[in-house]
This record gives sequence, structure tokens and C-alpha cells, in this order.
Amino acid sequence: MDKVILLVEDNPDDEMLTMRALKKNNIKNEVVVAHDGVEALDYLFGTGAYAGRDMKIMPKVVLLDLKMPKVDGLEVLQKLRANPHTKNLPVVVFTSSNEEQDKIKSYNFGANSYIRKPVDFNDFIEGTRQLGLYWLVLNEPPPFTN
Amino acid sequence: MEKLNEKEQETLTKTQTQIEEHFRRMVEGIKDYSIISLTLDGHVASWNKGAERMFGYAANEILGRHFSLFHTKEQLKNGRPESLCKDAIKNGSASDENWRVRKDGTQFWVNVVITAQFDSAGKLQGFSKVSRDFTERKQKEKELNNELAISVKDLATASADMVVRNQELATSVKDLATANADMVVRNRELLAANEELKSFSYSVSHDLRTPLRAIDGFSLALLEDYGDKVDATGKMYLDKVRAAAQRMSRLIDDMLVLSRINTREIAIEEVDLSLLAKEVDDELRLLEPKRKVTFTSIPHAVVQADKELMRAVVINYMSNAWKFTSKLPEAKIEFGKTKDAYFIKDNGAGFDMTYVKKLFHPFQRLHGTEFPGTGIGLATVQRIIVRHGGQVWAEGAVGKGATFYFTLRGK
Repeated sequence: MDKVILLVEDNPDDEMLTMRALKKNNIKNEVVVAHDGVEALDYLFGTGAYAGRDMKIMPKVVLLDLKMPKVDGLEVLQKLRANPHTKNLPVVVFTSSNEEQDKIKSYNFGANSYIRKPVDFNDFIEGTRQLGLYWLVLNEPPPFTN
Repeated sequence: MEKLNEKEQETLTKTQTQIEEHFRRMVEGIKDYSIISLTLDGHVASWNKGAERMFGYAANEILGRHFSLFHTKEQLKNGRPESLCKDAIKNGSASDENWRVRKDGTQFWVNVVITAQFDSAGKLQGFSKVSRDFTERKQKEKELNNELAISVKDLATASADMVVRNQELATSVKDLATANADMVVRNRELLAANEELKSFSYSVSHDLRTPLRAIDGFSLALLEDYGDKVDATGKMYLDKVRAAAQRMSRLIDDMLVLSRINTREIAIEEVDLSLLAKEVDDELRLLEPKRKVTFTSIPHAVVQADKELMRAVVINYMSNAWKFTSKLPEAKIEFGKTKDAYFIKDNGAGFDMTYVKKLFHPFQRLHGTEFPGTGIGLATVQRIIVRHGGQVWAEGAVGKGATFYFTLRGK
């Protein structure tokens, strides 16, 4: 299906739990996991490890963690908003932090949404369900000019 | 020249006598100056009215007496009168300003000019003395001098005082500069500590939650995927693991709020507590629409405080009131004011006054699992109120409700 979810997440536990939550909600889209900012940008721009991939396939939504090594979430956000090919991608910041400064910066750099990862896994599952329903089903993605 | 005849001689002599008489009477009549003449050896030869007034002697009393009578014992000892006469002989005249003695023994200050009198051949005949009474002037001089002396003394004292004061001031300035320097250092230290605390709180908020999420999530995954391999006890254990992780998450959140109270900058503005209380009541009602709660409030309780922090106080006190009245069919909650303090009163579960001191400490709870909570709320309220310069306290009785008070600075 041409409805890829790009999950940018450095923590393997959170990666596993997010995948489990998506599965529990019957969200069968292909999930591409980038384990840090560099991998995420490589995927989005078709460089490095993802050089030569089919660039007609772009994610329907990006789930973006903030605290990552090498290149962090906010930098990924800035770079993808700066590039005409990726600047309209829907980005949901998906993070443990609920610090004011993180929220402000995320929205300033152009995030579409900010969701705090709950500790209670049931809430996590419910949150993912609503995320999936909204961004994958309800929301109309921006058209891409290739 | 022709010799004068008898009649001419007579007329000449008469005319000379008349002129002399005229001059004598003139000198005699002057009252303001003492004009006297002395013989060679200092005896009084003539005495005018002025001398009478000045010295107190009548002419017939003093004529022929020695002029040493008019001088003080000291002057006589020093030989002043003689030296004056000698000066007069040498220079023609001499002047003096000094004391003289009256007939009645009192002294007066005199200004005198002594003139040596010579005949036509240049032979010394005697002395004339013209004197002026300068006692009054002398007195005034003395008074002025006295005043001057006093002023000089006062000035010297004031000067000495000022020197001492200057030294004290210099010391104070030095102390002040040292204290100021200390304060600047302390301020820098405090700012640094505050920043450290802020960034620590910030990283705690992120880093502690991730493992908690893993604990909760994988426990649930275990239950869901391997439920058939786990018996009831095992399931209960896993539930406890999850509950503990979630509780820890709430504790972290509360502790962060508590620490943030101290590191946040307070922004004082006008705050209507009555409005805040009404807003909080509306929110609480939305969360539990089925409950019967009567809320009464004083109007226009306006204070000077940080709005967000006061909102936290009101939310805390009122959520507690809602929570601890949750077992009543009908709850009554009141926001009011005594002379000095504001309060939230409820008719709920109350508490044992024996433990009132523990109420506001973090993590101290007086109700076990009866009512949920981490025990942080009241500690937060206390910290906020203390930062506003106020106080918190509470009254209650078991089963009879509780009243929670707070004051703000200046109230």
C-alpha cells in the first residue's frame, strides 16, 4: 500500500511497544523505522542508506521522537520543512516530554501535532488507535509533485 | 621796637589774660575728654570737667596729687607710667590704651595721648594728657572675643566629630562594598543552582518515563500474549507491576510540579480568586457530572499574586474538597475569607487533628488507599504560598469535614 508510516524512534522498547500498539489497532500499513535523525533524513531525501529507493513513495505521516542521538527530532523537523519535496509532510511529534520548550519549538518548526507518550500502555494503545484513525484514514494528505 | 608805655602795656596784658582765660574755659568745659596737665614730676596741675566725670575726683581733691593714683598696681610695678612719659619726651607724644583706676576703685578702659610740654627755650615743663573712656568699646570687644572663642571651640569640636564620622563612613562604605561583592557571588551561585535544577527537572521528565513505559507495556504484553500460561496469582503480580509503574509516573509528574514552583519566576498581577474558584468548580463538575455538590463563594476576592500559581493552589484545595466529599450523597464546599485568611471548607471525611503537622509535608498521607493521591498536592500549595510570603494551615475533625486556609504577603 502506498500508505507508509515513518516511525522515527531511537529506543528499541518504545519501537516495539509502538509496533505492538499499531498491530493491536489493526493498522496494517508498512512501517519504516528510522533509529535516529540521520536514518530519518536519509529515508526522506533518498540518501545514504536509502540511496536509490523509490522516491515516489513518501510517508503518509511521520511519527517523530524528539530525543535522539546524532541528529535529534527538532533538527529532522527543520530540515524536512526546509526541503520542497518534504515540506508538507504531516509530522506528529511523539515524545515522553511535556516540557513547554519542547512544545513551543516543535510547533515553531512546523509540527502538525504534539502527542505525549503515556506510561500506561492501555492509554498508549488507545492513543495510537486515535492517531491511526485520524492521520491514516480521516486526514487528507498533501498532494506530492514529483 | 619801641618800648610800650604804661597804658599800652596794661592793655596788652589784659588782652593776653583774656585770651588765656578764654582757652582755659574752653578746655575746662569739655566733658567728653579728660584733659589734664601734669608737672615735671607727675603731679596734677590742671583738671577739667571731663577728667572729673571720668576719674570721679573733683578738681580741688586731685590738684597737686601724683598721677600714679590713676594707675593699677600692676602698671606701677611694671613701670608703665614712667616709660610712657619717657616716650612722650623722646617722641613728643605717646599713646596708650589700658586700664585706669577711678576714685571709687573701679577700673575703666582708657585711650590716652600724653604730650610733653616744652617752653620756648625747649625746656621740659610738664605733660598734658588727653583721655577718652573706651570702656564700653572694650566691653563690646571682650564680648565679641568671647563669642569668637566659643565659636572657634565649637568649630574645633564639630571638626573633630566630622573626622570621626568620616572614618566611620569610610568603614561603612568598605563593609558595604564587601557585602555587595558577597551578594553578587551568592546571586551567581543561586542562578547557577537554579539553572542546574531546571535542566535536571527537564531531563528527569523525559528520561524516567521511558523505562516506566516499558515496564507497563511489556507487563501488559506478557499478560495478553502468555495469559494462558500465567495463573491468577501471576496475573495479579503483573497487575501490581503495572500499577506500580503508573504510580511512579504520577509521582514524577507531581515532584516536577513541586520543584518547578521554586525555580519559576513569579509574575505578580491582580488575581480574582473568586473567578478562579468558579472556573475550577465548573471543571470539576464536568469531570463528575453525576455528583451533587453545592459550592458557595465570596465575590470579588481580589489579590496581588502569580495567577498560574494561585490557580494551582485553588485547584489543589478544591480537588481535595471534591475528593474527600466523594462518599457523601450531598457535598457542601465553600470558598470564604476570615479577617486575615482565605479558606476552602468541605463537609467531607475530614482528618484527625493529631496529625495536622504532617498534612503539608510531601508524601505524607493521612488516608491510605481510601482516597487516591500521591500526597504532593498540599506540599505544592505550601511552597507556592510561602513564595508569596504567606502561610497555610488546616483544621478538621474525622467525619466532620475540613477547612484549609492560606494567607498572602501583607494580609
